[in-house]
Amino acid sequence: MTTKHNHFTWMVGGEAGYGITTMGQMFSRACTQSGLYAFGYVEYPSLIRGGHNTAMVRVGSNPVHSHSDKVDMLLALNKETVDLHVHEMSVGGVIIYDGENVILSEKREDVLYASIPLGKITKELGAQALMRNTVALGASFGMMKYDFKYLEKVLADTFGRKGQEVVDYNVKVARTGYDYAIANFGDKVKIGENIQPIEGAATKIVLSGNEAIAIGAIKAGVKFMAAYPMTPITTVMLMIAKYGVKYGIVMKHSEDEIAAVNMAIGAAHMGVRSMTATSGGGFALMTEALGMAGITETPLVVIEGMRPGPSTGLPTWTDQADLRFVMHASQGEFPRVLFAPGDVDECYNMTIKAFDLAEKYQMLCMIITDKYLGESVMTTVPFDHKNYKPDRGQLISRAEAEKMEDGKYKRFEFTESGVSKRAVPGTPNCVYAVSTDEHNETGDLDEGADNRNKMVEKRDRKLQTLKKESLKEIDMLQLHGAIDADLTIVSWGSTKGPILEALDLAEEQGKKVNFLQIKCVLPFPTEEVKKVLTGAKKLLMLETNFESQMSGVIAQNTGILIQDKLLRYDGRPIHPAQILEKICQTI
Amino acid sequence: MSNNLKLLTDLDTGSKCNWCPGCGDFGILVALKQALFELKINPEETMIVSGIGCGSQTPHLVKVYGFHSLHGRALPVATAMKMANHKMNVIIIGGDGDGYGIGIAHLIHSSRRNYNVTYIVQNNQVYGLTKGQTSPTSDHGYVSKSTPEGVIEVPIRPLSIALSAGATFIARGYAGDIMYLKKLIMDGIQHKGFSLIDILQPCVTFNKINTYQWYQQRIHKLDTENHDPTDRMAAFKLTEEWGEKIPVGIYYKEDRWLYEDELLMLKDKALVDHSIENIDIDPIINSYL
Repeated sequence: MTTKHNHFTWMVGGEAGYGITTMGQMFSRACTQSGLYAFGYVEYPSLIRGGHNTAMVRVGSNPVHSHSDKVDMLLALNKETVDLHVHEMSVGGVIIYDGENVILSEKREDVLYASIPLGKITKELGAQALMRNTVALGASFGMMKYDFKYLEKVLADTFGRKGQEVVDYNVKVARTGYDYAIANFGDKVKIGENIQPIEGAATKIVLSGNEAIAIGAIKAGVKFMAAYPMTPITTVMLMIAKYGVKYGIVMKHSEDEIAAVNMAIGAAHMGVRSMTATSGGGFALMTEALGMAGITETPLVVIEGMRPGPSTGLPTWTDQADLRFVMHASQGEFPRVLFAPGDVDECYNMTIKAFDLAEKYQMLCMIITDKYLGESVMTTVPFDHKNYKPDRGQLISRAEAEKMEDGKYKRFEFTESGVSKRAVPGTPNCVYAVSTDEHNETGDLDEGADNRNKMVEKRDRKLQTLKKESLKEIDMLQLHGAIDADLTIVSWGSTKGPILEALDLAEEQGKKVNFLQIKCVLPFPTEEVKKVLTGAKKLLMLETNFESQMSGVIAQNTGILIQDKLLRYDGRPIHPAQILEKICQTI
Repeated sequence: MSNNLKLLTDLDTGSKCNWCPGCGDFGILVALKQALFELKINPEETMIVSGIGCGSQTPHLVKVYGFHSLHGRALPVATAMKMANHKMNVIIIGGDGDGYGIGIAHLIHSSRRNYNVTYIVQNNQVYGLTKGQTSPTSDHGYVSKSTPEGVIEVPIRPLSIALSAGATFIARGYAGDIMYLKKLIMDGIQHKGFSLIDILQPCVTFNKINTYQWYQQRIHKLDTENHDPTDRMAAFKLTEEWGEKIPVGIYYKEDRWLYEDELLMLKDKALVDHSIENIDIDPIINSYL
């Protein structure tokens, strides 16, 4: 794919269970550490072994926001990979394969088939069969004539725990592949030549949306998480668990998602920052308890990582079809916050913000992501966090409580803001009981009509106060690109990256397009969105679901129904070329 | 820590109770309050969590911290509270439908984790709050509004389930014998580990079979018999005793490591006592460099 940014797309494919994902991570790390930007995207079936896996890494000297529909260098660890992906190869691209094991009957004229005896080299080095991956990684960098030292560092980081001997051995194996590629194909391969390390570039890191959420949670002071494994959010719980002892966080792998969310609420009520994470199926099990957080006014952070349903659906693929479900989950009416991050920085920042808002307004705060955002890795600058100060809202301190008169405290006191002072259990002079039944200011059961009205209104008032006090426009929406555009794309969540790429592609073709990103779904920024929509010349709604759920939400709030739509619902993320095509049809 | 309890009535909340006259819940409530009073617990450091059911109003009737949660979900709420602040006394209370029906999975998993909490089940063998349907502990043949031809399945053996799942204190009490029940609850609270106290409790409105008289004719106290509560196999045998004779008392008692003691994060202090200011994430960021 030729763009002004000089990007290059590498992809490895092979059988599931053979370290494909790890290879992708190592490739993106080596590139990021040498000053480039990377975006890594993995596709895998819902299987542990067998089945076809790919890891794509797109790199470049300028920010890379998404995957691509074209591959410049394909590392095919089996024949199936060539068969499935040969049509994605760009003109002049390279397919690296092991010609001694993979027999190809048909070949494309405009692609270089570089056979490297991966198996034989591995055997000659006396290495285990899986070391073939390391030979192949070395060969990839050799083809690109990329300085070997960056791969060497990643190998050292990856295998350092196992000792210097293991590191040296891996380096030797990778070097053999690297040298073979240069010796045999060095002068034949032109693609990727312009992709070279940027010496002295600012320090960058490459990580996934899930990792960014976990780091954000740790920074915000999460002390308790309960969760049940489910693609695509499992890595959030694993990362919290990994750092549990170091940061004093209990990560409880519970018996099911019902227990997970109820535990998270119990811990939060006790006064620690608490969270859970799940995908659609688990979220379905959590719905009843979300209302418990609502009526007991317990601060709770919930991450929902979407994958295509209904039911088990496409467990390892991506879409945005849980939006309405998450917005409305649980019986009754209660206020909640719903953020929709679009990249790793937003995952990190919105997670921190969610913890603050949850405590300050004693409310359920949710973050909706998907497999594409949660499991793709992207390059960013190390998170800036030095000035962060947690906002715990109206939490009564022990010292303050000791001066209070016993029996006077009202947990749900009616206030102008809707927010009542919060004493956590264990606080002196404040003993109270809360209930999932409707209750009065003290927390005692109360089914009175007048009290009920006041309580419903009190809870709702918190959201109005939150919007006024704590949400800036940039927290809720963002207009990317030129103000004066012929077309405005409206979208949310993980489509951000592909849309940003498409804006660049459109610009190259002389088309003026901008992009309204909705970052906060609840409370919905009605006036702000309306302003952009009414000022736009043409509108295009873009989402990865069938019903165009967000356009319904927009219409419901603003009265504006966006007619023109680009929807994808096959479980695959939308890519920039697809968006460009639609732009060209529209303007 | 100072103890604010001077009189038993210090545990009264003044909240209106909505139980039927003669309900077994009253006996359990009185026994619980007396146990808390005699143990000199600090109300500010005690939390009662309930589910949903007639007896789940209890947190509003005892002046300690309370959380009246969802039907069947008191255990996950409460056990996480224990993990968040393990210095608190955590007591869970709920009915048989709540704990042995919709919430049975949590009983099994909480038992095997052995948190230091006390779980009191108000077992009246019927659904009272929804006006008289069969419960998981209703006997075979029990006729109710939801089983007009009688219950076809066999009843749950909750003590046997908890025992095999790994609970370390298992007892059965009777709501009609408050003094004996008070002692059982005290033993349960003092036990270090997950204690289950199943309390046989007449529902005077909807259960016309398992009445005070029915229980009184059947129960016998284990203390007066030659039962060794550390004998696991003997305890299993007792859990099978149901019908003409029903044992009350401590079935089983075991010393085993506590879940919260094994959590390295709780070694120095409770989770709630950790500062969340200035958390340094550089070590994590550095792992990406």
